[in-house]
Amino acid sequence: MGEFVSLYSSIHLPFILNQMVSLSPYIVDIQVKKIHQEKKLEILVDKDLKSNYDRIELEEMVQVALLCTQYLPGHRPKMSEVVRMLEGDGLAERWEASQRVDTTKYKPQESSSSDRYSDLTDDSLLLVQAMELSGPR
Amino acid sequence: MYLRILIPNWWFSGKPVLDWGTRKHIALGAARGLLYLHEQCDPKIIHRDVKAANILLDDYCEAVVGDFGLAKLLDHQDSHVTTAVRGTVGHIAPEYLSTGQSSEKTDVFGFGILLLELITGQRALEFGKSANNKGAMLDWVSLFPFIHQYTFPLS
Repeated sequence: MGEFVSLYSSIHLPFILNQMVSLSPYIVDIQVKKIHQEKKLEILVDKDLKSNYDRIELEEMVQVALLCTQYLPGHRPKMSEVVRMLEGDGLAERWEASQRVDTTKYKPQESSSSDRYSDLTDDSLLLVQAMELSGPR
Repeated sequence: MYLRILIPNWWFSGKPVLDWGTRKHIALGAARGLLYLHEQCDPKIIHRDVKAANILLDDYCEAVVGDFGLAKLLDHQDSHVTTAVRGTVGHIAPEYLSTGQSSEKTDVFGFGILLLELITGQRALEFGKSANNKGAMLDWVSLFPFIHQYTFPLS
């Protein structure tokens, strides 16, 4: 934490703090992902539903939610695909595919630096620097 | 005449709990609404504030996508629009937050969070707290290198 703060000037801090606050959906996402992996989906469900839901449908809906909230926009499905998946068409294939590419994300500590930078090839990240140079908008 | 009610108000309105089938129906209805905006309108419409609070329900629990206050029109050949970041904390997609670029995929992200709201019956920001109080804080800490990399990749 100390190192993190000292690396960046106070000009950057509001930006970082804003990021931290707004990162909450990713934390939610990571938690949901963990719950999904541990097959404890019942923790997620609205308690008011009691047990009046279909476990398979619940798992499918969580999978669609996780696909939709992937970090890189290019990895997220289009709405037409989302509708098809919610109708029960093509979710299994899409989920399988996402599990194959999804090896480096959310695990920065466990991956080598080259892995990490290969995950940063999205050109939108270059625009982060452009925005920094041109000041706040 | 339809009575429309915002989904989060439903949780507190004393009405019977939305059952699982209804929640699925709302999810599909909202998804079809966004599909129409993204792929069947010309120019396409990016909503940019997709969340349960902006989904209205009629008497038959048909979902209606509402509140176009932040929406942008976009030609189909354009991939994104760059603007100041506006939206709801807990629903803003990472690329929009860091670059100001929004696209259909920004709405897809918001829709994913909306699905979690429907499943859990909680709003995005509340979920992290109640699901695992300690865990949320630990996740913050472990995310620091992650934020660093994505925010300042070249510094």
